[in-house]
Formats: sequence, C-alpha cells, structure tokens
Amino acid sequence: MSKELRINSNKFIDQTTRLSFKFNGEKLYGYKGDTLASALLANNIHLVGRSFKYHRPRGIMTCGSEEPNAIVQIGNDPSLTDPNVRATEIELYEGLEAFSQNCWPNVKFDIGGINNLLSPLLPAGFYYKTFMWPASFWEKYEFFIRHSAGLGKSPTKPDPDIYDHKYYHCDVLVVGGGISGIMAAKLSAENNNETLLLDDKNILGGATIYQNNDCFQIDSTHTNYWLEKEIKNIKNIKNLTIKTRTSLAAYHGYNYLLAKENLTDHLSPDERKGKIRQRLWKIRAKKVIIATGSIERPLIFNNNDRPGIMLSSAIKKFIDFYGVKAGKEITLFTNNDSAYETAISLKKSGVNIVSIIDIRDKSSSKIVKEVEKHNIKIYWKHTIVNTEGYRRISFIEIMQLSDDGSGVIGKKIKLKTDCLGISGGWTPMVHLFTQSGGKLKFRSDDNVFFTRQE
Amino acid sequence: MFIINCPYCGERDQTEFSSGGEAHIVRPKQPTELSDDEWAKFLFMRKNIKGIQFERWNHSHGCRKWFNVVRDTSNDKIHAVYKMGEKPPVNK
Amino acid sequence: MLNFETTVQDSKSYGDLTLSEVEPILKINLRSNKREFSTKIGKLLSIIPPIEANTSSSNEDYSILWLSPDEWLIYSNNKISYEQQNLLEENLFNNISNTNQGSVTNVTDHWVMINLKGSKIYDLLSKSSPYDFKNFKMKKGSVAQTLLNHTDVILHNIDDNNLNLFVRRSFSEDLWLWINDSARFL
Ligand SMILES: [Zn+2]
Repeated sequence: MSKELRINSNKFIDQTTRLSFKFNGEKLYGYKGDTLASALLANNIHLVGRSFKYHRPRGIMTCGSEEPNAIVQIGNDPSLTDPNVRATEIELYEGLEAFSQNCWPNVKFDIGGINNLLSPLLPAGFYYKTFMWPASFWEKYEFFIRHSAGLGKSPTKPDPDIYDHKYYHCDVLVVGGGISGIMAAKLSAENNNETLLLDDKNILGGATIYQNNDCFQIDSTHTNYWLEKEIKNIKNIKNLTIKTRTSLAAYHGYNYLLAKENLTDHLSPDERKGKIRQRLWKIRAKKVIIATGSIERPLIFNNNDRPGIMLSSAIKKFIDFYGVKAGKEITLFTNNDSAYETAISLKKSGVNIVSIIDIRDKSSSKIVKEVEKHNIKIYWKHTIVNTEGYRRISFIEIMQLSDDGSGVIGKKIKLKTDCLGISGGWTPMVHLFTQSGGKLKFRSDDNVFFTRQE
Repeated sequence: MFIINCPYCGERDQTEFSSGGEAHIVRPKQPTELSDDEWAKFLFMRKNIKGIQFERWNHSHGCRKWFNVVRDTSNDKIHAVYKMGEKPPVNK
Repeated sequence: MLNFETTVQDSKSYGDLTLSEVEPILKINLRSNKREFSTKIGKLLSIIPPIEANTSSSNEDYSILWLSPDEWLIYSNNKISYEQQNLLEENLFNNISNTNQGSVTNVTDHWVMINLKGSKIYDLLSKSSPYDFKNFKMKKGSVAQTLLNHTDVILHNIDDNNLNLFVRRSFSEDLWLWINDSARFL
C-alpha cells in the first residue's frame, strides 16, 4: 500500500485493521472500511478492466452503484465465483480475490486492444452484423466472440450458499439513507407510521456524512456533524426499522418493492460459514418515499475514457470518506460549482491541484471565492480538447472557448496530471420513480429531468 | 402483484387468488340449437380488453369464494369489487 | 405425519420458537347457510359460529373458526379420544345433516395441527407468507387463511405468541420440514 496516497486520520476507515487482498494475482493491502476500489486507488491502481468492444483501458470512475468501468470477478472457486461485481460497491475483507474482466491475456497487455487500432474498420454493430452470416458458421465464431467479449465467468458448480426471503409490510418505505431520506424517515416514524429506511451502503448518511466544507452548515455546525447526531437519534425511534447494505431492485405496482440485503458479502470466507448470505425483501408499503439523491454527470471531450479520469464527486468521496488520494497531481474540469468542493477537500488533505478548468466565464459564488483564496490556478472559459496516456492519464490539452462557446481559440496549453476530475452537473436518480410509472419533465434551470406530478 | 380486496376476507395479496377470466358471459339457454361457431364463440371468444375489464376472481387460498372485479388491464388498477349475482357497479 | 399412526409426537425448539404437532384433536368442517344453524350449534356445543370474517369463538372445550360466510372449522382445544370424537360427530350429524340444516364433515385426519409458540413466530411466517400479520398479531382469536411456503394454511391466534397452524395432511410433512429448516436462522 502506497503510504503517500493515504491520509492519516479518518473515522470511516479503521486504519488499525489491515486487510490483505489480491487483484489479478498481486497481493495488496487495504484497511477495514475500504471498498475494493478505494483499496486499489490507495495502491495507485487505476487500470482495472477493458472496454467491451475496442478493449480500451478502463479505470475506476465513480465511487458507488453508478460505476460503469470497475467491474470485476470476485474469487475463482467454481461454485462461489461472482462475476460483474462493482469494485466500488464490494467491501474489502481479508482474503478477497478479484480479477479484471474483458481482457486476455491480462489487463495490461490485451490482444483485443488491437481492435482499438482497427476501430475505423469496426463500425457500430460490427459483432452483430458481421458474424450473422452464413448462419451455419455461428458455432465457429461463437467461441472466439465469447472469448473476446465475455462479461465475466459464471460459476460452474452449484451454489452452496443459503438465501432467505422476507415479506414486509409497512406504512412508509424510505429508499435512500442520505440526509433527505433520514429526515423523511424521522418525520414519518415520529408521526406514528411504521417506517422502513433502506440504504445500499454500510452506513447511513449519503454524501452528507463526509461533507465537512465550511460552506455547508446547519445550525452553525458542519453538516456531517449535524447529520451524525440525527442518525444517533433516529436509531431510538421505535416505529423505525433501518436496513443498511440493502439495495432496492424493483418497484412494482401497488407499491410492491423488492430489495436485496447483503448479510455476509462483506465478511471473510471464514466468518461467512453457516450464515445466510443474502435476503430478498418483498416489501408492501402504503407510501414510498424515494430519496435516492443524484449522480454527477461526466463531461464530453476527446479521449475522456482514460484510467485516471473520474467524477469529481468520486475524488471527493475517496479523500473525505475513504482517506485515499486518487492522484498526486489532480486537475479538475467543470461547468458548475461542485468541483470546487472537491478542490477544497483535496487542498485540506494536502493534495496538489494542478488547476481547475471551468467552461463558465466566471463564478462569484462563496465556494469559488474560497478556492481562489488557496491560490489554485483556475482557467475560466477553457475546455479540454484532448488527453494523453494509455494505461493512465498523463497529460491534458486545454484551449480557450470562443465568445459564443461554439469553438476554441488561441493556443493549446498542455498540462501534466495523473488524475482528472470531471463535473458536468447533477442528474437526479429518478429510476425508481419512472419504474413505478412516474413521468419526467425537463427542468431547464439546472438541465435535468425531474419528477412530474400528474 | 396487486392487492385484491376480497368482499369476504378483506385486502389480500394477489398470490392468494386465481383469475377466472371475463365476467358476465351468459350461457346460451339451448346449447343444442347452436351452430358449432356460435358454441365456440361462447366457449372460447373473449374480449381481452386493454382498459376497464370485468373479471371473475376466486379467493382460492382463502375463503374460496368467487366474486367479480372491475380492473383496468393497462395499469392493474382495481376500480370495484362486487359479489357474485350483484349488479356491476358501473354501467357496462 | 403422512402416516396416521406416526405423528411427529415431538417438539422442536429454535431459540424462542417451539413447534409441536398436537394429536389427536377433533376437527369438524361445517357448512350451512340456514338461519337456525347457528342456534342449533349453540345448543349442541354452547358456542356460536362467528359471523365476522377472520375471527373465531371459543369456549373451554372447542374453538370455531370462520372460514367463509357459510363455512366453519370446529376443533377441540384439548386432546380427545377417538371414541369421544365419534360420539360428537354423530351428534352433530344427526342434528345438522339429517335435519337438512347444513353439512357436517369429520376432517380430523384431513388437517394436521401444528402449535407454534414464542416471540419469533411472525418472523418465521413472514419468510414465506404474503399475509400482513399486523392486525392478526394484535387480536386474540384472529383467523387467517393464507399461503405459507406455497401451501394453504389456516392460522388461529390463540394467545400472544401462541398460534395453531392447520395444514392438509398430504402437505404437512413438506411444511414441517420447511418450518424446521427456516427456523434455524431465526
Ligand atoms: Zn376471501
């Protein structure tokens, strides 16, 4: 474990309990409280997989269930191996073994990567169209296609684990244990409603529980301390049931919802023995409150998929929650104020920020002024035009935007960086709402699709 | 999985019930006088409406009584439940 | 349990949950939609069949469970010899069936009764029953017909944390095994 990528004090990570794990056969160390993703980043590993078609290198991009890249195979026991697990979701345990998917012979040297060079010859739909004909040849193609495009390996032996079911009836179900979910559950339970609060993480509090920025205060205390107190209090409300490590999977008619509770997936194989692995909750609620928050949007530019390019909010969570620096020379690229929160968090933990590139002409918000005090170079009205670095980002090229924003002007500036945080604004997680039949409408002041009341 | 309000037992999960198809289909008085086509029409042909449909349901894992349900098949919303022999609550 | 002669006869405990099969218990199914039926039963057993759905009425010797607007299940609260069972059945048969007041069917061997005791009863049942036990739990004497592990059951709340479960004999062994398997993890 690279010491220089860890900050020393952190209340969410137990730095006294060191855990060993393996990634692609290499023995590494992390701490209790880490996810596989945070432990890998602490070991300076960004490259975790390959893309599906062109086998381009893929790195950890987010720090939650929205992770599109860091998808790994856990274990190689023929009956227990688990494909397609997000490294950002799996909690680290002693003896965890993870493997990259989508690469052969290995993640650093991938023969399929040649597709990347051939990409002008591989148009969209190439696999589907080319290997359709003649029909009788499919059996021959199949072996190679499955080999080169496979999404993880299924277990080949029967599953020895025990799974449980539970029907649950409640007055109010609150999905999401962030600040709004917690307050909704509290209000609901205090008003004599049998309430169930679910969150997919191991602790409640969402993004607020590690928000220690001066600009975010409630009752003159930092929001993280304020919420911590609230969480302590709600644990004593008698009508309120709280389930963590439980993710909601389906929202059916008549408020029938399915959730998966993880009971032992975060434990080492020895601690799991004889215990139920997962429980399926079949919930029937009179009212459902969806408090699933938002996810940050990426920004679009040439080669924005290199390992080391992450959401700016993910960099913030890795430093504030896991105590892991995603890089040593971090650059931020943004079109809104959120990236400045990340900048302050990084600065506080002593990480060097190369610069902030902001598409906007200027912002005079409180948080931007705060950042300006720290003497961080901000390129207003600039955009990234290209990036370099094969297995990890190494350079970015930026240019000034023309006055109407339709093109770029001036000279290219080349900046050296080993990690780039991008922030394109926030998108509300409306998936459950739409699954329940809810309709959306576009809200132009912050460019999001939001719930529409019928 | 919807919830059906059995007119005898109250609200129960759909799993406790069995569907009996379209309701209010009158059996012809003289089946012997019907042509094969007419008889087949009575036996097999159903409206299968997208929208408000009158259906028979049986609380097979509860009180085992038959009753009628007015259900919108496009969103499973149940508008009314009434006992066998009772008049449909809305004009058909 | 499948074999009439070899009832489970034994009681299992899992933490705060005890299960046992209770035999021999008289069970009689009654069906009627006649007006005098209720008073007749009242005279014979000094207990009135409940009219309210999902309820029961009990006296010292018997409980009558509501199954449907025209159907009830009588069972004896205590173990009772087969001779006594036959006498009672005959008495009911003569006074109800033979006078055209309804039907009397001895279902003693049709249903198997399992008694569950302990604070974990509803944790066990909620593992595989879609029924909402909220009101059932609170009201002594409540009756519920529902599904437990895809099997039809009749549940009778006789006291706090104490209920009788009726399951058809042919399904009883399967359900007994399921209960024992699931109860390990309560
Ligand atoms: Zn019913």
